[in-house]
Amino acid sequence: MTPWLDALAVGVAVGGALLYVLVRGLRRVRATFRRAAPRGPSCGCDCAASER
Amino acid sequence: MTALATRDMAWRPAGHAAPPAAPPVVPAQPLRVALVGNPNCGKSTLFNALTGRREKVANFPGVTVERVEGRYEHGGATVMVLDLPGTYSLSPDAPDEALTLDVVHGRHAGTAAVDVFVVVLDAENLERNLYLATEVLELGRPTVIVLNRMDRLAAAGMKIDVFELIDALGAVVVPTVASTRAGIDRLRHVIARAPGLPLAPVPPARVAGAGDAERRYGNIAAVMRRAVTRDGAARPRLSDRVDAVLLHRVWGPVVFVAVMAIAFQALFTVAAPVAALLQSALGAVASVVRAAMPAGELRSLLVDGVIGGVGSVIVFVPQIALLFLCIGVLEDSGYLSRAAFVMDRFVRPFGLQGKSFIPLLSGFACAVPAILATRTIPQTRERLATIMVVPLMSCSARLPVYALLIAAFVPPATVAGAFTLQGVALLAMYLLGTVAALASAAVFRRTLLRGATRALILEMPPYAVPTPRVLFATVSQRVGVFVRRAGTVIFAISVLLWALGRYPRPHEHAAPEVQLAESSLGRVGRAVEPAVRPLGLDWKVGVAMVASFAAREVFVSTMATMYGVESGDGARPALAARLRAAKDAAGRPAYTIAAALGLLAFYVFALMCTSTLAVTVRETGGGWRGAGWAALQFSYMLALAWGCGFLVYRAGLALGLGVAA
Repeated sequence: MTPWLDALAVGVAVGGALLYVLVRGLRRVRATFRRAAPRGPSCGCDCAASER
Repeated sequence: MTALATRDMAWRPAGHAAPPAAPPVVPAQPLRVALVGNPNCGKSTLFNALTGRREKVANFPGVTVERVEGRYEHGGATVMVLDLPGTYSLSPDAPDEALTLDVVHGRHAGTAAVDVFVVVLDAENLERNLYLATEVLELGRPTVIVLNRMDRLAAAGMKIDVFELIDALGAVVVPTVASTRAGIDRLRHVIARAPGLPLAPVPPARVAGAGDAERRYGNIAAVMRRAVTRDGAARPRLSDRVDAVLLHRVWGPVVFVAVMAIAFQALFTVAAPVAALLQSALGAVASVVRAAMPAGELRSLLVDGVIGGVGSVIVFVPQIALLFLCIGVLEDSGYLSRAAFVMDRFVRPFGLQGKSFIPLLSGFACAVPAILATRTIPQTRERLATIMVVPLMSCSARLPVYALLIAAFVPPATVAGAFTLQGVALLAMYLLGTVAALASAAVFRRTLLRGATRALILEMPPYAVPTPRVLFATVSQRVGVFVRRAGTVIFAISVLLWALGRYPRPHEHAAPEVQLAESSLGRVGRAVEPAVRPLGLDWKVGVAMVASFAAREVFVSTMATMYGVESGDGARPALAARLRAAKDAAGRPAYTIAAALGLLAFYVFALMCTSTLAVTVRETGGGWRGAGWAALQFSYMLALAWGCGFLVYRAGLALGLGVAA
C-alpha cells in the first residue's frame, strides 16, 4: 500500500467517524428539546369521569 | 339480540359449532384498536401476540408507561393496535394512567380516535378488573372484552361461565391465553366485526361522583354471582406459602440480599470463560490483520483503534447477557414486586416508597427506561426525587468499567466458600450506588422536593416460571443494543481517539510512550491531569474519563487504544494485565489499589450518559425547566463522584493500599 493511499484511507475513516459523532450529537440535542413533556399527574379526584 | 350476537362470537366448548357470524366490517381506513386494562393483566403479551411484535413484557405492574403502536392484517383490512399503560379506572392517578385516559377520550395529541376498545381482564382477578371494563362499556363505544389468563383458573379454584358473563355485561367476551397465543385468531375475527356489533346498554340516568362508583360495584357483584363459581373454601395457594417467606420481615430482606449476591457472583464466575474465549478470538483477528497488512497508519488504526478499542468492549458481551438474564428472571418470576414490597420499609425513611424501588431496580439495566418507569409514581415530588437519583444505580454500561478494574486490581481470593473477592467487590459497587441513591433521595426530599410520602399500594403478581421465549427476547434485544453501540458510537469514538493519540507525530523515531504523550490526546491529558491527580490517577485515565462522557464503556476502549492492546493471553483480559503492570515515568506502579478503588467509586457516582440527561430533560417538564433539573443531576453526581473518589483513595492510602495489585 502506497503512503498516500494509507493516508487517504485513514483520513476517510477519521473524517467519517467525526461526522458521525457530530451528527449524532446534534440530533440528540435537537430531539431532547423538541419533544413535548408528558402530562403531570392529575388532582386525583373523579373529575375526569364527570367530564363525560 | 345483543346477547345472541355476542354469544355467537365468543369461545364455545369443543363440539359446539358456531353459527354463521356477521360479515367483517372492512373499513377504508385502518381499524384503530386500543388495548386497555389493569396493570399486569397481560396487555403487552396480547399486543405482541396480535401484532407479532416483541415489546417488553414482564411479570410486574407498570411495564408499559408509553403508548406503543403495532399493526396486523386481517381479512384484507389493516388493524392498528395501541398498547396503553395499565390503569385501574378511568380516573388517573399517575402520569402513565393519564396517558391512557387521554387516548380513551380522544384527547391525546398525535393519536387518532379509537374505533374499538379491547378491555383485557385478568380472569383470575375478574372482580377487580371488571371496574375498568364497566367504565369503558359505559362510554357507549364498540368494545370487546378479553378474558385473559384462562389457564390459571383451575389452579385458583375458579370457573367462569363465559356465556353468563356475556349476558351480564351485554358485550362480546373472548377468552384467551395470550402467552400461548390461544384464542388470538378468534379475537382477531371478533375485532374485525366489532364496529358492527350492538353496543352494551348504557345506564340511562348516571350521576357522576361517589354514587357512580357504588352503582358499578353493585353491578360487578351481580355479574360475579351470575358468572363465577368457586370450588369450596379458598385453599392457601403455593404463591401465598412462598410469600410467607419472601415477604417476611426478617427473611424477606435476607433473601433479597442473597439473590443479589448470587447474581453478581455469577457475572464473574459464569461469564469469565466465555469472555476469555472472545478475548482470544479478538487476539487472533488482530494477529491475522497484522500479518496480512504492511506496517502503516491504516494497520495501526485497525489493530490499535478498531480491534483494540471496540474489541475491548465486545469482550463484555457475556457479562451483559448474564446481567439481563438475571434481571429478566427477577422480572418474569414475579419477584420484583415482592422486592419492592420488602424494600418499602427500608426506603421510606429516605422519603421514597416501594413504588420508587421498581424504577431503581430497573436502573441496574439502564437508567433511561428506569426514568420512564417513574411515571407509575403518582406524586410529582416523589417522582422527581426518584428521577434525580435513578442514575446512581449502576447500569449495564458501568459493568465493563467495573469488571475491568476489579479484574485488574482485586485478587480472585475465595470468600465464604462459594464467593470470590471479585464478586463481593462487584456487589459492593452496586450496593454503594443503591445507598448513595437512597441518601441523595433523602436530601432531595428534605430540601427541594419536600412533602409527605404516600403509602404503598402495589399489586403482587402471581409467581410464574420465567418463559424462555420472553427471556431470550429480552437478553437478545439488550445484547443487540450493546453490540450496536459498540459498532457505532464506540467504533467512531475509538477511531477518533486513535487519531488524537497518533497525531501530531513530531518525533518519528521516538518511543511509543513519548509519541502518545506528545500527541493531541497527550496534551488534553496533561490539561485534565490536575483534576485527576488528587485521586492518584495519571493523565491517561484522565483522558479516558473525559472521553467516557460520551458513553461509559468508552473508558475501556480508550484505555485499550492508548495501551495498544491487540492480543489476549487467553487466561485473563489483556487490558487488565497491562493496567496492573503499567509504570509511571519514575518506574513506579502507575495505578495503586487505592487509586483503582477511588476510580471505581468515581464511576459508581458519575453521570456519564447523554441519553439519561436527555430523558431527564423530557421527563422533568422539558425545555429550560427540564434542562435545569438535568444540569442539577449532572452537577451533583459529578461532585459526589469526585468527592467520594478522593475519600476512597485517601482512605485506601491510610489502610496501606497505596501499592500495586
